[in-house]
Amino acid sequence: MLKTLFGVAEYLYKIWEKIPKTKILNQETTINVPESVVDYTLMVDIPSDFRSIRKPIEISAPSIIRVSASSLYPFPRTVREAIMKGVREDGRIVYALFPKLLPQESDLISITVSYRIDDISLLDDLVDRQKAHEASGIERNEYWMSAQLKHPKVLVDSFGRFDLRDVDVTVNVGVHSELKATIPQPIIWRIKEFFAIMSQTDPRQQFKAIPRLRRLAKSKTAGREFKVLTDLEALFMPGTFSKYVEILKDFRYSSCYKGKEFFELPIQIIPKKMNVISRADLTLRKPAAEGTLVYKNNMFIEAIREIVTKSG
Amino acid sequence: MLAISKPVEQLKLKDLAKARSFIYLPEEGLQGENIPSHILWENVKAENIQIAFRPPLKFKEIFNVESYDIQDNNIIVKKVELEGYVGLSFESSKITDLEKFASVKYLMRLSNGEVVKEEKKIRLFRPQLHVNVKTKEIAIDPKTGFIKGRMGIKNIGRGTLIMNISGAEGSPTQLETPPEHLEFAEKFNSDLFEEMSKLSEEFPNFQSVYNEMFEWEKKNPLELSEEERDEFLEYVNRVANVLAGDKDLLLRFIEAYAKALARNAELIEAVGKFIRVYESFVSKDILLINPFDEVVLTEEKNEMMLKIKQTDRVYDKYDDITLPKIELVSPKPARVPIYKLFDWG
Repeated sequence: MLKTLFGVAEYLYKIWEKIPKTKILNQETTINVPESVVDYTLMVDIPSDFRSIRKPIEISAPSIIRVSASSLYPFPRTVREAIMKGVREDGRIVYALFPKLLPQESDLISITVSYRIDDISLLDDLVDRQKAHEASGIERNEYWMSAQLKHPKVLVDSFGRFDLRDVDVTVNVGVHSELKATIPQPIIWRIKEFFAIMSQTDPRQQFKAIPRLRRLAKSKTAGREFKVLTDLEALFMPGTFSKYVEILKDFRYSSCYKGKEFFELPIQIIPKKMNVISRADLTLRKPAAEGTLVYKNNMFIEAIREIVTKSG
Repeated sequence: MLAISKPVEQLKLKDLAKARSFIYLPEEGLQGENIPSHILWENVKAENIQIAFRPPLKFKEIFNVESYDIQDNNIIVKKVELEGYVGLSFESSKITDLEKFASVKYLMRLSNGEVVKEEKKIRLFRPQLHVNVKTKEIAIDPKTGFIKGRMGIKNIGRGTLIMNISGAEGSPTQLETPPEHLEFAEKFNSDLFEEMSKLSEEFPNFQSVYNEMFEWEKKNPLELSEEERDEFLEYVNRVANVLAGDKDLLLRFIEAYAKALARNAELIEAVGKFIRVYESFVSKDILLINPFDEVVLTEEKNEMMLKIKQTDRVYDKYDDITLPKIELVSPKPARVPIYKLFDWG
């Protein structure tokens, strides 16, 4: 697992280990979970004759997306000119560090390599993530979340300062009871009736349905039945639904999407649950995070009520 | 300004250097789910940590510990790996009691001589189905849709009860999924898997869950063995984590669903489904997973035996319930959605 997650980091470390007279002072590793990108930085003390190395130092691995170098002394700055990106004949992308292009006065540099991880689920080997499957609290609208580092010592020993950014926990928030409790039965009946008539294909039945249609046309919702449904559906758009959840303590809101039980027939208009993704950072100073997702169900009920009363 | 701000700053610095500890355990949980706990401390060293817990909690894992002993629900941490943190994971299991408090006692001796002693409690609950068959005859009026003698059903525990209703083995009358729903589901699933296959080619991180998706979609969650249940929970978490681990993938995944639906559902059909699903929201804490299924009544009197399979949000095993034989009476042939035979109070 560590090999898959940190193979490129180890590779960079080994390259520097082999360069004579340079000294690795520090390492920093940051895993950006939503981007599936690892930023690995080496801080290196370089001798004055380092710039006389004529051959560029090649850094190449398929997963690398960026390599950058900074000079840390006398003031920190990125040294863009010292890194060049090239393409080999076989199509491989190669990054190269040119020692002679590093600033004269600098004896302390840092090299950062950013690379993609193919399977972010490997994160489970580093972090224990748990969440409540049912709501708790006085109003039964809270879900707990937790993320804890499993082996911080292995990480610190191998990769120096270690940051896991935006570790996700996905909570399934049940939403069906608010819909059931709030939408008045007559509206459902009218939607049902209206669309039953609309779906009639037999001309005789269509003719027979005219009086029913007239009765419906007299109601205030006439012609707006479809709008009730689309407005209700819009409540489950991530941007809108996010207003009805609040994330407390170490976690913060990230995004949400409609949920489907795997065994159910597909029903995407109105979901029974929303999957809410929250995120927290784990570091060696803060190796465990806890959070609470509060589903503001009363506000959500108000929003449903507003849609149905406006139309009804 | 300086004169005023200085004491405040000094106080803050003093506070920062103060020995502190923090213990976390959720206050409530569903029986059967994993329960996390952790102890954090700073500006001091922990010399000895003891954690004593009660069933139905069971020890699962401990993190950042070099050596420890566990005996009779007591964990003695002899040495931590890095100062400042011990993480724990407990398993909880389903028990007869619908609700039970489990306590965890934490004892920590610190290098400054202080002793931290704290007891935390977690309320562990579960759902429980109660069915009341009041009469042996249920009368159906296909014209008005009125049903007399419905069976009472409710969740007397806490948490969501997931269930499906089917005809028991040997029951003369059986349930049927209306063919249009089956056809729709087949077309939808085939389009969805086509979309998912494209996703797995484009996103290598999706490949592993995609390979498993076919298998799990075929299984009935109410018939999982214990081993399958653990594997399934892992799979569900893996899907969520893979999606949360890649923004582009998540967007494309949502899009794939929307595309498969748009390709297969006419507007009218979609509204029809909304109505059916809305009506199948039978109770706030019961999820009926086969709301489309119907009882097909061909005779005036139809004998039927129903079986209820059930589980909860962590797919724990619950006994099947076979209801006593009932007679469904209807003056003419009819199809009745199964949820209408019950009073979900």
